[in-house]
Amino acid sequence: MTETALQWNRVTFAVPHGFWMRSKIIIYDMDLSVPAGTVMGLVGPNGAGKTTTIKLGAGLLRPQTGQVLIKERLSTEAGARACLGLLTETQYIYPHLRLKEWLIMLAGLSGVKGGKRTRRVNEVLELLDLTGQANQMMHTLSKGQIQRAGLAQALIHEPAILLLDEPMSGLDPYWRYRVQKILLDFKSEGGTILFSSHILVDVERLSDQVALLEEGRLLWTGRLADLQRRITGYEVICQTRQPEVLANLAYNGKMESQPKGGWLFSILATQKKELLQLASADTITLESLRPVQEEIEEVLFGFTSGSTRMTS
Amino acid sequence: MKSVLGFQMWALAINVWREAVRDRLLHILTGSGVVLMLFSLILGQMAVGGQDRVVQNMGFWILGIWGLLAVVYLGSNIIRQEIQQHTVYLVLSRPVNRPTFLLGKFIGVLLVLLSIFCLLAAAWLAIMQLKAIPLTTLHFWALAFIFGEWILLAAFSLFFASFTSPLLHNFFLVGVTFLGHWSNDLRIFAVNAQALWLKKLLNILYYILPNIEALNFREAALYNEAISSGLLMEGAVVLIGWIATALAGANLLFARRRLL
Repeated sequence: MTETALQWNRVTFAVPHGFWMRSKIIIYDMDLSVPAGTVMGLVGPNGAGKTTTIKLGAGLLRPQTGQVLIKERLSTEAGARACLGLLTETQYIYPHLRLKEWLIMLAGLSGVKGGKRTRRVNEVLELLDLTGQANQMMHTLSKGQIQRAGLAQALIHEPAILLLDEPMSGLDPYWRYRVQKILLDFKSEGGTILFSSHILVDVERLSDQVALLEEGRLLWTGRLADLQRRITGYEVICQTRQPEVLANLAYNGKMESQPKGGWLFSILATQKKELLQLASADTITLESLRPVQEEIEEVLFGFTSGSTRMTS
Repeated sequence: MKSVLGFQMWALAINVWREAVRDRLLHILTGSGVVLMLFSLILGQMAVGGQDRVVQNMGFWILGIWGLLAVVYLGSNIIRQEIQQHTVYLVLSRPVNRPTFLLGKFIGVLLVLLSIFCLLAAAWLAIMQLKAIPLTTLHFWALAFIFGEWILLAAFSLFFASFTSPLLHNFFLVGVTFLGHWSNDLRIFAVNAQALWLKKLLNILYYILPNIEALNFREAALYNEAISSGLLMEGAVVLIGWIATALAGANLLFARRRLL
């Protein structure tokens, strides 16, 4: 049986709201489990409750009802958080500390001491290419460097579980790629990750499972691969001596000539039969027919707005 | 387990100290205290006799007030900044419990206060030496209890910072300091008050406010009056009792504080 790394058991969380401080529920009766050694992506529109879910997981917030467990211990118990690394969406720094001092302090708070602490500080600085900035005051670091420093502090104590709130935020494409690789390496070494992201390509690439939230409710959990994605059309490459016949088929009449007399164009899914007829009549020589699937955003956010409720 | 908690508190405390010693405002505060003490030499020249007393009085006064200023500045920001700038998230998402966090911050503030106090006290003692004013053990008792008052204010500051805004924190802290010094007067006013409600109010204030005047041995040092061990003991009990109460209250409130 797979061990559960993180678990939200019927968790409800409310905040005081308005002048009369009335209670406003922002997480409704959430049941969510992240098996050990897997990656779960939290997705949903702004205000869906992704950050609150992560804060509950990190023991920063105490739920009104239900429990949040880290390896079967309450997340609000300090000891339970020893195996946890947290990356917040915005990096909250002490401006008058040097990067190295900050990392040493946070490593110390996680119980990493002595020679191991020095070694780990140097390792994470090197991993995130921050060795040159180690003695810089934190307020002098760039946005991207601060984001990387945030990941460095999350990894410094070699946690078994990572909670990451928008980990790719503020990173350039090169560092997005590098961070993805770091996270995949972490997973391959048996680590568990729960992360939120607005970038569904990242979610698709990293996650084993996805949890979709909207207005504090868990709408769907499952594998992105299991989602039924409609084929909306095809991308076609073919050869022909009569390009005018393709003009009727091509979506919006747009065709691109290819080397060696080939043509590249898109067709609607409904026109596939017509295209194949042209191919069987030898009017065209079909070189490639690639299905174009519905965007993952369209499928995923089709569940939102209170329309459909699904659980896998 | 105990060593881990101690290590965590020390890591937090050192961080508070490092940040504070790089803060220009605290440099200015300490520097201005030293300059004012030097100014007491000029003021002493203008005084008709009793130049020694002016130097001593002004030194004690600066040490008292500068402690309050330092605590107001450090204390009003210490918890607020952690919560408003969300730096507390990275601390409390680790195996650090809230009392450890609070005590770590408190120890850090004490380290900063000790640094400022040592500089100011050293400047004052140097001036005393310069003016060839004889130093007695009474002066050192007075100094020790002034620093005790700083610690007490730091504990109250932590208590107020754990539930109020910086403005209210400052208001309460200054209020406690001044009313605490007038504590004995409150008792006398209560005895002399005619209206029953006023008598009750003054008595309540007398009991709920720390008697900071019990820590004041400046006059004794100034006039070279012997201090009984009983009075010193009473001062120490007041000090330890109120520090423990303020820290326990701060813990209780901070444990319930929601970190959104």
